Amino acid sequence: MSESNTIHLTLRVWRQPNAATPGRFETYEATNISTEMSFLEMLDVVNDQLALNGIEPIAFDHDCREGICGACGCVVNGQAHGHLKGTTLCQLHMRHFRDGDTLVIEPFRAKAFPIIKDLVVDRSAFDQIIQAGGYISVKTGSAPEASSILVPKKNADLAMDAAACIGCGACVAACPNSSAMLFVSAKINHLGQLPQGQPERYRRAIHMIEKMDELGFGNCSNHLECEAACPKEIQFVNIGRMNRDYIIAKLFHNEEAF
Amino acid sequence: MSLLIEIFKTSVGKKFYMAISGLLLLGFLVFHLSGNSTLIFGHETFAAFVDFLAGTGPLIYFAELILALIFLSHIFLGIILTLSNWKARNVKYSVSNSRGGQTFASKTMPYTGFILLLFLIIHLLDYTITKYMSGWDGWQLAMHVSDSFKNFARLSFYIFAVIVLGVHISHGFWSLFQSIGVTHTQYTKMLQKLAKVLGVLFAIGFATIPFIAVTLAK
Ligand code: HEM
Ligand code: FES
Repeated sequence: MSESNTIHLTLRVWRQPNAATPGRFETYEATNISTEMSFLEMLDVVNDQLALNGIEPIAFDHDCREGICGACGCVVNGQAHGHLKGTTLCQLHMRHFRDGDTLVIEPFRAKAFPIIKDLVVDRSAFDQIIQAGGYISVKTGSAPEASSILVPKKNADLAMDAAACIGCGACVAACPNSSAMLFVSAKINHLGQLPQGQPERYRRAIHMIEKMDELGFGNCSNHLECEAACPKEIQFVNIGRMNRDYIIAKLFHNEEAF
Repeated sequence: MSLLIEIFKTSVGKKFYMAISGLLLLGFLVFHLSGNSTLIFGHETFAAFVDFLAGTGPLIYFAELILALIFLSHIFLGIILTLSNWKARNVKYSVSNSRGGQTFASKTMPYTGFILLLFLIIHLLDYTITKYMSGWDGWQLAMHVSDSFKNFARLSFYIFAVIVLGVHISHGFWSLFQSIGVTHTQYTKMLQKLAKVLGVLFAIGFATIPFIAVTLAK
């Protein structure tokens, strides 16, 4: 068993009651934090203390707390999901911080992700992008025989890698341009690598990209901050493949798009 | 035509045009550097090359028109993309730390681009426009080029600008392939290295021209 320690931190947390009211940073002390806690558990402890002192607890998003749902996430000391590579905020443990550290905690910032409250932002823009084409059309009913459509191993692997995207929005948060390209490209490639995704492949690329633009996300300058911040380590080559799909779609399959 | 405009309307499409125009500009730079390199063989060779180009008449005007259009679209798109990128992050982070994705070159693309635009204007005024206005032939231009670089301020700005160009290319050259969908887990890494090498080569290549010119004038 690893040794359990406690640390003391100073938090500078973004507090904003709602989108219409301007926000500001507040400073709170996080005392007696076990290094075995996750970041979110640390916030729970701080919130308990705030509630006892009659202060409104800090609002933050979370659900599974095991790194698979994509609900959690904020920016810690200027990095989405904190400094640990390939980790969601809920899987970031306090042993990765030092006693006496000051942590600046901000929400994901993007025009397309308006703030709801404190650290909670509205990421429904991602849902709208999925609705625009991030699906395949199939007959529902009894499940088809699993191996009736064979998938080459390489494509299965690439599709699986892209499908690891949990849609948390860290790519948008980390991108200097607030671009959603890594998310959109992961979804486009996840389906575009598979035989089942082919009939709608080009239509999907056009519609999802147009929706992404309409929602006010930025463009890609190939800074690659998204890949570095992604808790699921989605690769930037997905963006290149998406660009390829889009250009082929527009130049050669434009009529099929509608 | 309407298809080309439709493509222009999306983010990916704008970057596609940005990449194609950047690639064409790189092609022009290769031609421009080769042309300037004729100075190595002396003023006569350089003058002969200039006169040869001028002698092609309508061809050179057409080529210059196309080149101007390429420059203008690259500049226009660069401005549009940069403004929309700034708008997409309407509230800035109070603390922001790179995780190592960005490079100095990638971060500064809009700024190196802006410096290149200023340089382009000064450079055109210095040589291209002066030549047309004064009705010079190749020899007179060659003399003017050698003379002009004796001016320390002009020489320093020129050297600074070609270094900035090298920085712009050291990100731009690989980025353009990603933008047009030529991407690969391994080959893209090679392109990233090649971009840095090309940036250095272009900077050194153009930086040697004024020194040759000044040496010739002595
Ligand atoms: C001969 C000179 C130039 C060359 C060879 C060149 C080349 C390139 C290349 C290859 C790219 C990468 C395109 C991509 O990422 O797909 C690029 C990007 C860019 N260039 Fe230039 N460029 C030149 C001049 C300029 C000028 C004069 C401007 C002034 C506005 C400019 C502004 C930009 C900007 C802002 C970008 C980044 C766009 C983005 O990723 O958002 N460039 N350039
Ligand atoms: S709470 Fe589900 S990924 Fe963090």
